[in-house]
Amino acid sequence: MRIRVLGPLGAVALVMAIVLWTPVLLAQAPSGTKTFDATAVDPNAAIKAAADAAKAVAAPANWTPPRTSWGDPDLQGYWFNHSSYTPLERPAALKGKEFYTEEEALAALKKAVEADAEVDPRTVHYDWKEYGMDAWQSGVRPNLRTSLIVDPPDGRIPPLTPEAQKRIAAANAAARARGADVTSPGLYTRCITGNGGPPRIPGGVTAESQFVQTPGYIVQLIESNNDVRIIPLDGRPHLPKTVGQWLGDARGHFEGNTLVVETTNFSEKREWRGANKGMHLIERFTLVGPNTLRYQFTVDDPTTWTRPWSIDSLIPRIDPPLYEFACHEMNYGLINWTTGSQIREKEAAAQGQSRQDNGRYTADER
Amino acid sequence: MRITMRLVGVVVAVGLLLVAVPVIAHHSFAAAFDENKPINLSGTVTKVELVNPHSWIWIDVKGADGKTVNWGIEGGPPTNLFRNGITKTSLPVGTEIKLFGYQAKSGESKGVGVFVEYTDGKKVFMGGSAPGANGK
Repeated sequence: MRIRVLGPLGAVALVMAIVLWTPVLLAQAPSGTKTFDATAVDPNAAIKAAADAAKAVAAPANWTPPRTSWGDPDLQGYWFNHSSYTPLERPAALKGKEFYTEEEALAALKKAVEADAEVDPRTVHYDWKEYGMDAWQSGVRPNLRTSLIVDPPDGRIPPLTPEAQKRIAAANAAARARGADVTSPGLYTRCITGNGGPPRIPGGVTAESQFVQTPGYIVQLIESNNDVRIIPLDGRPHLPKTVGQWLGDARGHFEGNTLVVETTNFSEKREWRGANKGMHLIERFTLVGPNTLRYQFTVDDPTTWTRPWSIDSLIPRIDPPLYEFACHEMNYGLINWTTGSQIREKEAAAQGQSRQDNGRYTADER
Repeated sequence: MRITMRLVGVVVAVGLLLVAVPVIAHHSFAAAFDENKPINLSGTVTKVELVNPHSWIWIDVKGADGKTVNWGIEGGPPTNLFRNGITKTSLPVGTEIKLFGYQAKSGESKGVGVFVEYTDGKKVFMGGSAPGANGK
């Protein structure tokens, strides 16, 4: 878990709070009455399962993907876009190292699982694993890659263009000037779009999705925010350039066993990772085994990044169903966040400090 | 053992105190809760909301003054709980629980629960029964 350090007084209070809190054994209360799969509650069991999975063959030799009754590659089913702890960008310490050895990959996974399962009591957050949200609780695997980004070769997002830097700085200044309100957080936190892209960055929570196919269409149902992408396969043109949509406008076709999806017409308010409405995305979905989808994308926006960039990842098949993610079902959080942020702003102003951050809250966005 | 892990955390916390590092909020809705207001509460569950984007457990806490205050404690989203067989009746109203967490920045009787446990020390929700434990 990420670590934050308290101010001195806060830390003293914290130390006293923890030391004084001893578990008083009252009359027997019901302990957890559920018996779980060991890999969902025991990090060591999860690590062992991951090591075993790494040894298993992904697909038998001469395996060919199944086809729908009308002849398209069959990508239908439920998929989980979080198969490893591999970061999007290659860490600086691994500069120049594109691949781990098998031993290194397993060691990296083990380290990541242990760090993830640990809870620092200074973390001002519920324990993710008590809600089944740690990646190891959903069957992560080792990955020989040291980054999901495969192009540029350094495994990192290309620099922002000067135009993008100016644009983003102006937007941040406007947000700081406006002060915290319910529009300050990103689209995901505001329940406008989910965290499933497009493009979909592997990882995070609520990473489940489903493909449904009919002749002429493939539909991607994304559990995060229950976003839906209806992708025509008949070669019709994109929408006019004047039309922008939150999830863009997608067109798909098959190249052999690969579904290729080209998405344009993003809303200017989407600002995915700071990008502009002209963002252009090509995604490739290929069944590489009975239970594994290969997901690649290349994203390009010359007004934002100095060059296109691409990822290559694997998405395992999971059991149904998708659950409804009714994001605003009882969203006390947005109100609590706004209240807390406004109090912090007042406190900072009272001490003559101006906001040091960018005025927006986008830490949860993918 | 639970206590040992937490005391280790305390030792680490004190050790890192010596390095002055500013508090940086990275987490979902972290600004809502006050890192300088840790709370320890014990109480009786009055309501469980397994809702999106965050679940909330409400408990009646009896203060030293004898007065009962109802606290709301934030947790995570319910979808993976459902995937693991936990339902809205898994934590029954009336259950005694205790927790360590942080209070809302606003000072309201709300907080985020970091360690939320039954009185026997077992974690609520995924903590459940460890493999090999008596299957209750």
